[in-house]
Amino acid sequence: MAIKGEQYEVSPAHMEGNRSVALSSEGLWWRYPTYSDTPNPWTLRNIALEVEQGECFGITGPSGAGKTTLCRTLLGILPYSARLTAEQLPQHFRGVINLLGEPVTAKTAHAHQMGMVLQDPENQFLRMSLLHELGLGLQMQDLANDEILQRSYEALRWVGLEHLWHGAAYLHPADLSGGQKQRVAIAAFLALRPQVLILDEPTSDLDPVGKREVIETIARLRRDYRMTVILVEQDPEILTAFCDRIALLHEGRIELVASPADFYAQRTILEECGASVGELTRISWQTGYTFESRPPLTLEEGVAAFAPALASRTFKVQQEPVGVGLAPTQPVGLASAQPVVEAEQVYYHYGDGTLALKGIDLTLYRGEMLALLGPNGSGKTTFAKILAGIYRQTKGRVQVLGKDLSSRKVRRLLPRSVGYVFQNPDHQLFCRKVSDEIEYGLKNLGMDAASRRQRVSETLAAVNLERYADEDPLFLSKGQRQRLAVAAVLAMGPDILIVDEPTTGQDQRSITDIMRLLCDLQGQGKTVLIITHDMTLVAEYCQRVVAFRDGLVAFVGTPTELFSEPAILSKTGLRSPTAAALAARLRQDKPDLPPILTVVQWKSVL
Amino acid sequence: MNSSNSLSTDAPYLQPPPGRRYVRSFLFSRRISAPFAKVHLIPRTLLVLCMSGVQLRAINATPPDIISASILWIVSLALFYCSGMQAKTARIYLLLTFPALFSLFTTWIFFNPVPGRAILWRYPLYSGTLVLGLAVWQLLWLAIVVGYFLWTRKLVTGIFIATVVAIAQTLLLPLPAWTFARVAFFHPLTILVSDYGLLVAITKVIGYSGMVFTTIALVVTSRDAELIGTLRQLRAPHVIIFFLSTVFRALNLALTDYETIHQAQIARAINARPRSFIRRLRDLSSIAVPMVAMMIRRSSEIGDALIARGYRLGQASADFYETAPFRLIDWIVLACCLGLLYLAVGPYSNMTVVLHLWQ
Repeated sequence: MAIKGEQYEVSPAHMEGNRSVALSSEGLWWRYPTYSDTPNPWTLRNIALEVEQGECFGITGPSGAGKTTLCRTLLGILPYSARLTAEQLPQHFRGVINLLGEPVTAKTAHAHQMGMVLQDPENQFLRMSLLHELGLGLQMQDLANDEILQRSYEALRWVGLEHLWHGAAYLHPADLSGGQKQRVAIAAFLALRPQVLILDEPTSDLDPVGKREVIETIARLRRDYRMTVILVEQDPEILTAFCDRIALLHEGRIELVASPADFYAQRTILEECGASVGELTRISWQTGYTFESRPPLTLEEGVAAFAPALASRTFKVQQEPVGVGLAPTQPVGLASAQPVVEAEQVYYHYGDGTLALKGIDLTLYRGEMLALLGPNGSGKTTFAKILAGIYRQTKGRVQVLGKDLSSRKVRRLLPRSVGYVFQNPDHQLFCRKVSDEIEYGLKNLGMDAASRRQRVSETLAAVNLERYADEDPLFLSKGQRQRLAVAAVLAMGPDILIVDEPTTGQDQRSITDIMRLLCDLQGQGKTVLIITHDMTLVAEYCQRVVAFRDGLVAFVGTPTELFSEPAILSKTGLRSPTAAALAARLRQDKPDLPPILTVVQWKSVL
Repeated sequence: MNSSNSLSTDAPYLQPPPGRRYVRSFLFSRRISAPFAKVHLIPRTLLVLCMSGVQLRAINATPPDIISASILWIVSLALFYCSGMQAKTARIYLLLTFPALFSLFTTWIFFNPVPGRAILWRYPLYSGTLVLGLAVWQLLWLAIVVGYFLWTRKLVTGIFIATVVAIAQTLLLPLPAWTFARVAFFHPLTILVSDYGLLVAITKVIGYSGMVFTTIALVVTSRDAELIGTLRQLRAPHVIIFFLSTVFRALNLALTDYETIHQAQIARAINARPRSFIRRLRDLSSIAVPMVAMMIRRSSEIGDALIARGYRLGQASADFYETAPFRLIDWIVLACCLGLLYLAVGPYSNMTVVLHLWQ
């Protein structure tokens, strides 16, 4: 591949007519080495793939399916960085991988023919300034500075960040947003002019703005440069929008490879493997309406599939969503509900002088599930940390269960009343045994040993982790660690539970598990506050929404009010879930159609 | 020393980002235009080392050279000011420095009885013999400590209160005591404040605070790219340069993780009850579990990211806007360093004696 002007050109050496293979694998098996006598199970099992040049090839599958391992193997990191001897190698690795007709070897990873962007943007920012980060790989190639500068600037332009070039030597990773960091990671590889770019869940740790930025970047790479992209992703909408073909990986095997249209038509396989599917697909599966004998994938296809079914129906004009007997969509009688949190004119200044909150007025009620929404930096997490007593407000009054948080003593004892579950479970697991982890907070609260033991066993039963009581939390799956983190907070008996991004980077089954647990807690009368970017989750589970923007409350109301009013969406900078967007689109032609937010509601309507 | 870069400071990527006044350094932020940061890292480091050497010389001279220490203190304060540290952070560090310096002053004054020309205050503290016996004040002391612990679960505060009460009681209202034996142990201790002791203590405070200011100034002004450039200029092995660069980035991530983990501890009621020193240590050690877990996960990904960028062990890499050429100001600072080095190791003339402030 050579560069001419601003565009990549595919080298004719690898072209065979209009079709050429960029990357292929045959009979690929891999298992991780172990220190015990019992070998690990195979992580990859007989993988056979063929990715064409210029193709965007999607890989999806549940957590633990082997997606990241496959990426590492395709790049040649595995098995060649695993330090296996020639005798050990066949026990762990079998098969052939070819990149542009050449076998992938230990040297492939260093040859800059392939790039790999990882999930967490922090871990791939290897230097402390943007300029040096972009130049790092090129420095290793011993290129002249002028060449490095030219390539770095072009790469930055390709990802739409050319405005950061001015002052690049002074920009620290902490000065960039998550989306910008991920785009810089992509740019750092683009500067190396790779033939193939592997993106391993590049958007899963990002807020909607960051997600949109990265998606637009991938779209640009596809549109303008025809780059070969392997995109590992859970989000079906992203896969549908960008991929020519999608592979389903499950327990190390490729179960299905098909175009998006055919892929999401395979309901049985997708359901068996627990793959994430889009809301339009779920509506289609639930109702039986299809577009060209398959589930619709875009809003336009959705309109074409479902509009005929609605045409003959008449609806009583109403503003409330359709009642479908689904508990979460039932509006809460807030007027009669008991306030548990009352915040008045709350301000918060960070140490560096940043004004994070600019006068927040908000009341939370007992027994509601409330979503705290807003882009990164809007102040929602800061506000939640004030409610949990982690931060103290700079100005204003906050009362939790009638107690004023200005008092240090009240804040110290607040974990009895307010539980805070952090986004990453690994940040909050302090012990080497699951049962000790539950006990940790109880000991801090000064509970006696007998009561502690009883509380531990009750809590483990509540989150279905009893059989792991003696396990090391670090060896649990991410979904189990997330449940344990909730359980550890739950054991302290809080009336209010704040959960930060409970579903980020998790597959559909883990999301369902954790949300079922939170719904049970809500059923027990606890107030649940969820900080999230997942609008589907908001529509399906939350009764009330608070949207933050620039340190101010931009909206308080129900999900129906939020998702059915374009003006409010525009003001808050949020996006409707697909089910709600479909209803809004269909209401243009059928004004009596009530606001519909969820797949279950669509099922009842259709 | 020449740079391999054709460094044009007018290039947009080398200009500060529009509207920004501060840039992040190792641990802090500093003003982009900070004068001390304009000096090359090598002369900057040498200046701090040489100034510290002269300060130590002034402190340890006989008699202590308070005049030289004060002059250097003023220069140190100027360097601290010129480091471009954010005013709020600077205030915090000054506040943190004062208690340390105050304890240094009091420790020297009270526990280093040097006779001078005049003794300002004398107080015998320990006679040189241990008295074995029983006294009412001991029972009183024990009762207060135990009672306070049962009431509040605080030990150190209880000991402090009991000691104050016991001393006050001994001075104001002597109560019965029964002596069984006297055993000679150590030597008598006396608090003795002399004019010379005062001079030594003040000079030490001035000298050490000056060293603190210059060290902070050096840390505040240094950036990782600068250090890597300097190591390149000093022909350090590539492995070490790359290792240090990765360590700096990893430390940055570890600090962020530590902050979140500590917040998670607060959310798990770590502050709910008063904590003993031992419990504080235990809580601190429990941070190790998530820190290590995070570091293992991060190091695996950082390793992948490095390999994907083409890094191999021992891989050399070209200089890319890391090294900086020596300019006139750097040579001037180096000349100053030579002068300071002479003062630090050469024949010393004590300014305090020369000016007849102490004979």
